Amino acid sequence: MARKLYGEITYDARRSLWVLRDLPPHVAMRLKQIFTKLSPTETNPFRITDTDTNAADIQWFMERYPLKISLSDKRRLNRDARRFYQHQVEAERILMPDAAPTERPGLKPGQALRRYQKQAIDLAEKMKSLIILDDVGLGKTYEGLGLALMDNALPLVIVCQPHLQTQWREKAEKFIDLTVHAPQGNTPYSLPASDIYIFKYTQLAGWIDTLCAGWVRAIAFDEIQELRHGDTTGKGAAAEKICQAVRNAEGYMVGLTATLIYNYGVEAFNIVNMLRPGVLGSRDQFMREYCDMTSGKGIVKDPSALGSFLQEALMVLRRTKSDVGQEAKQEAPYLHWVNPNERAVTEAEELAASLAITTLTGSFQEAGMASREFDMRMREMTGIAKAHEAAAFTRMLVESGQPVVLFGWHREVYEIWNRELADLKPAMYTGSETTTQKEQSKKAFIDGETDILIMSLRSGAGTDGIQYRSSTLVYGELDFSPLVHKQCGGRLDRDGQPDPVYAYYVVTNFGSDPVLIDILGLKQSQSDGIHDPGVTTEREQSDPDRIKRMARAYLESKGIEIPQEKDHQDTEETPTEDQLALI
Amino acid sequence: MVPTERALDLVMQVLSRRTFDYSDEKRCQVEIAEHFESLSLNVEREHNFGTGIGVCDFFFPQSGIVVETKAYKSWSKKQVYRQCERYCKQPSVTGLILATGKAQGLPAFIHGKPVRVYQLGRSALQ
Repeated sequence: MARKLYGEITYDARRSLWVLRDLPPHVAMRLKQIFTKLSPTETNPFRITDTDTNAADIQWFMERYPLKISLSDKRRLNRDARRFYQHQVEAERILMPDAAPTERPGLKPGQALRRYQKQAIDLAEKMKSLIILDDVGLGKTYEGLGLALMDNALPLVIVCQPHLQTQWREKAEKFIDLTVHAPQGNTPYSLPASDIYIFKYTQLAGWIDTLCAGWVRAIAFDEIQELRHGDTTGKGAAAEKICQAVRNAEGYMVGLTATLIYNYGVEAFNIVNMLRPGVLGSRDQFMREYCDMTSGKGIVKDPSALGSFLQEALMVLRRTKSDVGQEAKQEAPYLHWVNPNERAVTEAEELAASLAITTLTGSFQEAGMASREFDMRMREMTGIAKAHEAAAFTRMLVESGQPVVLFGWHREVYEIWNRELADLKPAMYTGSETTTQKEQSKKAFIDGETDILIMSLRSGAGTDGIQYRSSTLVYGELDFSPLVHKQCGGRLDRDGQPDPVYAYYVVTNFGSDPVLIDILGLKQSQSDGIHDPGVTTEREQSDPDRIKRMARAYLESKGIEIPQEKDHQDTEETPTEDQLALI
Repeated sequence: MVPTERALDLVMQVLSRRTFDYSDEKRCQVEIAEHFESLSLNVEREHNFGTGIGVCDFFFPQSGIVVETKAYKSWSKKQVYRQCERYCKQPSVTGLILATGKAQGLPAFIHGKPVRVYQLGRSALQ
């Protein structure tokens, strides 16, 4: 006996949508409960993006509520759903711990890809679009270069941050037996024949016509979070068009990063939608399904749900250091709480006060601008207020024998540090130095000419080499994205680091730090859920004795008497079970 | 019995051992409850102090410590203070921790009872 039909489904080829119509109210309600991207107020007909995941879900829905469907549409639906299940099986096979990854010739003698790196390349080849979200320091550069060894993947275009173009070219030339060219400038010229082209993000807009001409077989975006603002930036708009061209040529698109989002979950949509449009539905559907609509900031309500969906859709491949048998070198951070230096901020405070008044009283536009500037000035003042303490703390570490990378953001703060630490001749690697000067500073630090490298929080992500000289980092100022701190840590905690890495945050209970800490925690939860869905993050406890040992060593070296220690009220040492029973 | 200041230190240390998602207050409370449970702490969830006083999120009956959580949203700081004040007035309460996703200052003592603020975002500094 034929089963009852609850409506009809057709395929809209022009818009790549499945259209469901004539559903009775209770079935429509059930559909909206399953496809939460549909608006609760939506009525017949319902439109659902054509993706393999959606096809599998629609097929499953139709087992319970059969719908009228033409033979050709049924074939399409079954084919898409079958592809979803096939990909699941194949991905499982590729990622099985004892699976043998594909051996691909083409590396220089003595070079090799690690097993987990080969698995990532196999999965990228299978899925055509993928974000490799491996932990900092797992060798994503080699995974990116290895993409050139996939079937029919040449020429490969690698897009990287401007300061990493040389590093990528040098690594490529040492690692892979293919020709490499790093285009210069933003004005297109006739590119020499090459297997791999290494572009900077800043060159994409200038070279867009060349890159959209249909010859690119594969494209890899290093630090793909650069595209987190989607097509609202020049490089994002260009990247989207280039991806479209690569997709039309049935090429590969891969993102490489350890930190997919910097701020809120909506950034994940912007990136994913560029590599595989529609997988998260339209922007409105994504906002409805995943985001807290009241905040207006694109905060994802349940980051774990988004993270696990992206993994199931095989959009994201994520491995931590422990997943691949490596040990994270970074120890738990130490928070060094300081009181603000009031005199240093008095002058800046006067300006901030006037900005604050404008924020509250100015016209809409004036107030908006003043409010942003007030926010920036507040951060700067907080940096200035902590600068002397941060310098003194850094001095203590250096004079106890630890070369230090000191992170900051504001020029005024760098000036104080340079003044306070003048005798230690810090090297500078910030936004004010040219690429050549930065390289010189890095070299001076690595060669031991100085024990302090002052780095901008947002300069030099992915920089290699510093890990051979230092394992100690001090955050003299806070960034407003926790992933930036992670990136900074990754400059020391990476392949080749022989020692445990120690991070020290100089923080205060005044100025912008408390507010920044709130925002950092919120953003951290967003990225934790998306990166590692369902995983509880236990915090390692910092070793309170380490800093005390260093303080003693410093006082001894200065011939200063070591004072009697007092009990501190807010230490982070781990309570014992006996102590916990007393609470 | 452990002195109140020491008990407050211990609870602060316990909180600092895990990250909590405070974008949603209910989820945050569930995560904190799970964390306390995993350590087998003697704690009551949603302890009711009676009409007009309110229900605190966590209460340690042995030491008399209250933990009140506030997620990331625009709380009225005065209201939060008054809520803490009501709890501190209770004879069974010896001290209070405000575990908050929105920075707020509190006096060191309310009704003579020691008070601490734990900023949930601290765990993001890693």
